[in-house]
Amino acid sequence: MKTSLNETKVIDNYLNGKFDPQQQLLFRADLLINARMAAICEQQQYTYDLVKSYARKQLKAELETIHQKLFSERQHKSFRKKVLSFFKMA
Amino acid sequence: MLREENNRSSVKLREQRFITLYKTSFPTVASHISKMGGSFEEAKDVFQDALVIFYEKQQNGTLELKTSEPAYLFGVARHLWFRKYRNENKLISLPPHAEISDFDQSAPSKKKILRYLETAGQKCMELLKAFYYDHLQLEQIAQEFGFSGTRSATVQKFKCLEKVRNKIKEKSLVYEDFLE
Repeated sequence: MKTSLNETKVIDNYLNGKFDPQQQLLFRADLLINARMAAICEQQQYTYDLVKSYARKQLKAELETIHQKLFSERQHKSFRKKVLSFFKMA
Repeated sequence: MLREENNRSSVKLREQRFITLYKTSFPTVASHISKMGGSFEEAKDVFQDALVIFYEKQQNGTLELKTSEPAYLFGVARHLWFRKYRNENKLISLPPHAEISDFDQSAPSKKKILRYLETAGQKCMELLKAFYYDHLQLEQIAQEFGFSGTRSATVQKFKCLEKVRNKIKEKSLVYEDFLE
């Protein structure tokens, strides 16, 4: 693995709590004096945040497709009828 | 090369699983929301948010099921509905799905880079999603994404992390509300 990838791996271990407590402490101390590393850490954390946002958006799209299937396809008619009956006007 | 998302077996398995959960759990949730004066759309929204919470907890190993899956989903949906109802009765305007979605409330720059990554960096985002959100097994990721082995998959993961991270660095010089 290239040096930069190794650095990414180390940060990945730190940010995802894969270090033991002593390693975690040492790395945190290093970040206080290494501004470049601190900046990269922040950007990598933001990467994980973006991946989560991306993934949730994809998951919601998957759920919407499933919902549309269940409320349109003939084979799910009895399920559909049951759910919609709760929302009929009295 | 990475394979297309919709050809992956994990996606198909997930769909089957969600259909089953929908069929076993949605009627009870819908009945409750209806009794509480909610609409069909509102029932759908809270139920889908409950499914997202359920899925995330299950995948990252923090799901603690004390009862059945339908009972768990009902409990989460009821809680989400209660929070939504309470918030709507205050004079605070929250965006839709405020309970779980950090996406809707995100800074404009986050939306911009996300839109960019959804197109230009989709393959990497799918791979990172498989690792960090779906928490798939390394062997499964290698197989589904067409890598020669688990080591290739791991190396590609770090390459993708670096690629997205560098894009963030690049964009942070353009957008002021980035990494604030």
